[in-house]
Amino acid sequence: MIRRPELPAVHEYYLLGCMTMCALVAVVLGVAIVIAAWTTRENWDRDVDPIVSARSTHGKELVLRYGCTSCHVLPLAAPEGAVGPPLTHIGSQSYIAGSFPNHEIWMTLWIENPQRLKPGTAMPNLNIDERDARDIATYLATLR
Amino acid sequence: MLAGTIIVLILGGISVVIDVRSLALILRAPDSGLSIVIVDTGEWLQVCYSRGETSFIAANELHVPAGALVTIDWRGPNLVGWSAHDVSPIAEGQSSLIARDAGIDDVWLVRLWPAPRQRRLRIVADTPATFERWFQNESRPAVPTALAPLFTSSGCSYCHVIRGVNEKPWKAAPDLTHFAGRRTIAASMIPNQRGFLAGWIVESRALKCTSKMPPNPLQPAVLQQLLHYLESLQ
Repeated sequence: MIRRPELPAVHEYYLLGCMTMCALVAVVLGVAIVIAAWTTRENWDRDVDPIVSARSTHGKELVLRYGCTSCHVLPLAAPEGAVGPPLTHIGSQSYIAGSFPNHEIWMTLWIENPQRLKPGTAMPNLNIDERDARDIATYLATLR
Repeated sequence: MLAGTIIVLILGGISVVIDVRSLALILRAPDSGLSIVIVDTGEWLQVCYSRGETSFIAANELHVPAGALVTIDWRGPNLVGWSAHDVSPIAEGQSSLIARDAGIDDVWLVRLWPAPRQRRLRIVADTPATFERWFQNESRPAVPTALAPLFTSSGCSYCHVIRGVNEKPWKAAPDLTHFAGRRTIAASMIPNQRGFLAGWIVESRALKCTSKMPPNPLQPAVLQQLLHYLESLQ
């Protein structure tokens, strides 16, 4: 009579597979959560939408590229112009140019075409397209 | 002793090779007949082009045809010109310049004494055809437009010249005849874009603390029209 090796029962196999899978899924999920938390660690205290934060970063670059800092003071390492009003706390102001509510929609319109909104203002039209203007408005809204 | 000799020989050899290469370039390059006088005024550079009967004055950006010999006459202090491709002394008097290929090269003009200082000279080397077009356009006075009187009435013409609008003064400030064709303002330091330009006109010292241009708090409407006018000077 040939002796067969002792094999575990079927339910033991099942239990082993289940535990392995559970452990794998737990590890993968845990790593994913840690990575996600680490990449968004700057927004923990502010509860910022990642899209908003991407727009605001782009807006910050555009502010330097279009030369906003040659007239306005902004919290950036750039020339500090005193031609227009300082924008260091524009996000907490109530009005834009003393005329329009400080909402992102109005700010976008203002940046796109200040001459249409308030004819005769000293701020020139800089031929900024809508998307760029929106990103700049998003950035300005973060300056509280 | 031996090591010193070897180093001297190697360095000497390298410099001979470089000299021979540049000599070959100079001997082979055709003479463009163009001579450029560059007057260093301290803050900005006056650039006077002349070829045959044609001569005119521009400022700051140096346009040269690629592959041809250009005579440069530098009127200013002795400096060191430092760019990505070349480091060479710039001394008062005549010298030759050849741009091997078309492209833009920013040369830092470095001075160590009496006070360390650096400025930028932008050399724009065009293909001969492009250069010819640029030269012909630049030698013409500005096209008269309805906005031209604004240049005089808002006080720009006290220091700046636009050929076709006013003829004097020559050396107070950069010539603006074909201003819109330039890539930079403020002696090649700031991009020639509307946002920078508006800030520069009203308060130039915010952008460059050594600027001699006085603040110009213009009427907003005048500022807008002036921007349009300057952008039309192709």
